[in-house]
Amino acid sequence: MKKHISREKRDNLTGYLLIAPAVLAVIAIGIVPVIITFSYSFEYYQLTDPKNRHFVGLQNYIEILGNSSFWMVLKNTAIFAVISMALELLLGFTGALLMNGAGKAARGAVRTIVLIPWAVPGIIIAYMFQFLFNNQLGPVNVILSHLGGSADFSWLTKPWSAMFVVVAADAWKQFPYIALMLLAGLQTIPQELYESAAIDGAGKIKSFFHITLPNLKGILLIVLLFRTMGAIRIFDIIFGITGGGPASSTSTLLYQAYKYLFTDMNYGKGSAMSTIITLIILAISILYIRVLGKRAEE
Amino acid sequence: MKRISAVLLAAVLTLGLLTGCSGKNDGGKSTGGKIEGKVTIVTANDTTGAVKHMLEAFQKEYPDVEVEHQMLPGASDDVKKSLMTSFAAGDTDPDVIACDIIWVSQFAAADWLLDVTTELEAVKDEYLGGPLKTCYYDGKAYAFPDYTDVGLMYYRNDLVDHAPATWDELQSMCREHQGKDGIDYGFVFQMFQGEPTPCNMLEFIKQNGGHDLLNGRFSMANENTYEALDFVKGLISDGISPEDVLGWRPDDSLSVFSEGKALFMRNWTYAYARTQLDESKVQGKVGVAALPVGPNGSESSGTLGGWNLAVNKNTDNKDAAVALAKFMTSYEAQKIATTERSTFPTNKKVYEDKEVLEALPYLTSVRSAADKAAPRPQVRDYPTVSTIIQEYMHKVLAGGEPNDQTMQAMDQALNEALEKMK
Amino acid sequence: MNAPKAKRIAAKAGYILLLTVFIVMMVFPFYWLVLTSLKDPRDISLMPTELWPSRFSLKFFSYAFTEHHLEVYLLNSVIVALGAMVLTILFAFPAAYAFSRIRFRFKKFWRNVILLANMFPIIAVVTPMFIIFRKMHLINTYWGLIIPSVIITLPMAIWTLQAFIDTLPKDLEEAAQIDGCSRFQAVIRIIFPLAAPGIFTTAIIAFITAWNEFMFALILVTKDSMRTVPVAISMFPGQYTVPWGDMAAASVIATVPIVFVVLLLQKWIVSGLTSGAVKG
Repeated sequence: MKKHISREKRDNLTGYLLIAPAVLAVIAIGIVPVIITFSYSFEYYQLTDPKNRHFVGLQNYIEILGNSSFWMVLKNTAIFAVISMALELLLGFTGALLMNGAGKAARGAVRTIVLIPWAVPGIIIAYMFQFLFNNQLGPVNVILSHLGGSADFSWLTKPWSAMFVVVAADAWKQFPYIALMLLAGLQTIPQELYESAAIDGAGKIKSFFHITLPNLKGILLIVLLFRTMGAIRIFDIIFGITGGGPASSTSTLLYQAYKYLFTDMNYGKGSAMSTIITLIILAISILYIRVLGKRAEE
Repeated sequence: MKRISAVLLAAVLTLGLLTGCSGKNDGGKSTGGKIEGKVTIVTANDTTGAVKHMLEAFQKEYPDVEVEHQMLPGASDDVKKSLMTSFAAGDTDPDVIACDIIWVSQFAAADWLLDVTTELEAVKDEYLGGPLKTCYYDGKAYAFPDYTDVGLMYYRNDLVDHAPATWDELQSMCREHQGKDGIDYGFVFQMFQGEPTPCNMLEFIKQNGGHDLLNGRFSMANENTYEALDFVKGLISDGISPEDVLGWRPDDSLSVFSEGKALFMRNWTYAYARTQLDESKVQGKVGVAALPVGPNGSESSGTLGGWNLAVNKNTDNKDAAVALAKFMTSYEAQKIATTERSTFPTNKKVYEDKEVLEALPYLTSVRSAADKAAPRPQVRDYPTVSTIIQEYMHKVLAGGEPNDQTMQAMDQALNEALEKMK
Repeated sequence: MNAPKAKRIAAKAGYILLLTVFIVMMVFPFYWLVLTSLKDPRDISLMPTELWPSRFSLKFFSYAFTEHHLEVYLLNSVIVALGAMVLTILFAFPAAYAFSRIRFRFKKFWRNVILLANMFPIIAVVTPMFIIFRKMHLINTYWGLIIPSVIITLPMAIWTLQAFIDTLPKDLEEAAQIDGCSRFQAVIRIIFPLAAPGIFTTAIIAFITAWNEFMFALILVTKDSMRTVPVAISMFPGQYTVPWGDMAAASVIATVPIVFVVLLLQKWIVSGLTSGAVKG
């Protein structure tokens, strides 16, 4: 019997058998819940009022989009995403170039140090930064006062500085990943390119823009994709440092969804907010994949 | 769609992986008036051991009841989240819960708490009026008053001989002492965007003759409120209070005060015992008084806080659960709680107990403040009201938006929310 | 001294300076965490704070266990992270092998499905999961935390493992198959041992990711005795108090073993983290 099954069919069968557990798991615990959330988003579904659960159409969405706080958290999310990404790229590039320029032993050491933030739980990093920037008990103000600055700056009660602390904490956690990716990319660039550029009289800066950057384009796009998602999905850092304050200035889309769901216990509205986030993420993914795909064709 | 997906998820999850089962049988039954079986009680974290001793006393009286005590460490919002999820699922456990007074109406409206009107009515004369009121929702009782709390003025009695009676006096006393004797700040309070904001801000407003709910509607956009907001902003801009108070919780103020850096502090009753610990720099230098009043205010009233004990409506051992909740709030149990946990009893008799007064001599002086304490708006969905108040108050205090427009917008938002609760 | 040499030295000095600033910035928050955990409880709220304490103490470490029962949470975290790690590898290895070696229909589609799931925000997953887990009595159980962790670890694991298997020479298993081994035997005997470093790396990354997971652990557990370390630490601040010292000590205990593992295996972890991407 076995002989009659073609190689192609057998491969198909084996392939599907092997990926089945992973695919089913991903569908069951990833995709199906997202679909259920989508269906909740059209319901009046409040945990404190469970007997009243009913279909309300688009009302949750109308309520969310009609509230000025939605546009505020959307703006916060965008600000957070852009600034943190810029900072992380800057630090990531610096880190990668420093590591690339270092000798073998030094590179190992720097790489080790750079990995530490990656391995520390986000919530712990959040508390670390909250403590660092605590204006009474934290060291940042003490150090600033030694440098001639204010010893009493209140970081977490002003919208812009609270956002800065959140961004700093996120950047501290995330840039190692970027640095490592960029370093891996840097090491694939053939040294001859730089040598021939040097012969042509190109300076370091010129070769950075003409050789380094173009060669890292693919990795940069992947990094940007990952970090955009990361910025939209950030939770523990905000949960730990500001809880969305002051005056909701660090509350993001996702944090707002969390508050609807698990503080207000409003599953309908929270699900609608979660669905909006999912849609934004899907849109960005598609955009990036298009760009990445185009690059692959080139 | 929903059902299909749920079934799919369930099917895949059970795919030979799982046998997880947390179901258990605690079928406590009361047979013929005898109270027995098992009950679970959930309280906030208690490191003093008071709850343990209270439960031991309960066991002596009800030896046939087995009590499981679970503690939920975390801020009260986290505790609340855990409780709500259990209730919403219709769990029979926990049977008895300790709940913040501001949760009672919401939980009762959601039909999660057992009606204990008969039981409470029988003993209600034993309790202080303010805390007792927090046990009621819509004319029925859903909880027993456990301990009470109130916003108080703490002052350094080594530097000043009395607490200020008015805002003007507060400011002038602060100006006189700031910069001397290690006093960096005149007055510290807590205005974190969370429950501290309504607690503190409503206090300021009410000390200035203002109000929150008036005749069933929110009408806070008036001079009394604006004046209170300006006063708070003035405290910060004049350097009497650090700007940080806008991000502080009670403990942040306490640590500044305990370091000897502040002349006055607004805080809850728990703070007193903490200022008298060995590591405190103000040990033996702290006086307690009522909060000062504003120019339009007449009588001082701090915000009412505190906790109650309630019974899960779905409890599978009603008799034992009610007996436990009742016992934990009785004179005998509250005496243990007061002496060991330094919380303020709701049972009047405890205030007259000699042993208690020996352990907590300041109890009598606070009693009048506790009597006058003002509750936060007692509406069905208080959390929504609180969130709105936090948001708009911070728009003014931190965001610098104008008093009148912001407060008018807040009234409107609050009244819209109120409409939805009907 | 000639000019080019001076320039070279200046460049070198600049480089070292930059590197130092960079390293200090990297290490300082962690340094502060450790320092705080070692302070004496009496000094924790000194104002201004001491950049170098006048005395040290291990009291906060003992508080972490006596007052907060960190051992309970540590055990929970270890079980959940180990469980998620094992489950991830069990699911990821066959899939990664198939994606790398076998040609089958809609391969790209299925691979994208898995990667897509990685993009979904957890907030959109956790509510239905909570409701269904409740019905299935999975709330407050280890399974109830292990299963959701897999959604975070699995896509990354498949990606990393596939990239690793791609680098293994194909002729070995083909030769084995010609020698009469079945494909299954060839995988077990040839690929599995060769891929061991990749599997190991993937497992470590999965373990750390699951160990650090916060949102599922926050929402799917309502009982204190089932909380994992990160969530438990976030619950240290009580109704009024924020015990910084206890939190710092607990954080140090929760991160030092992980950091130690990372330091030991850094080379592998780096290659694991970057392998998928560099190939693009």
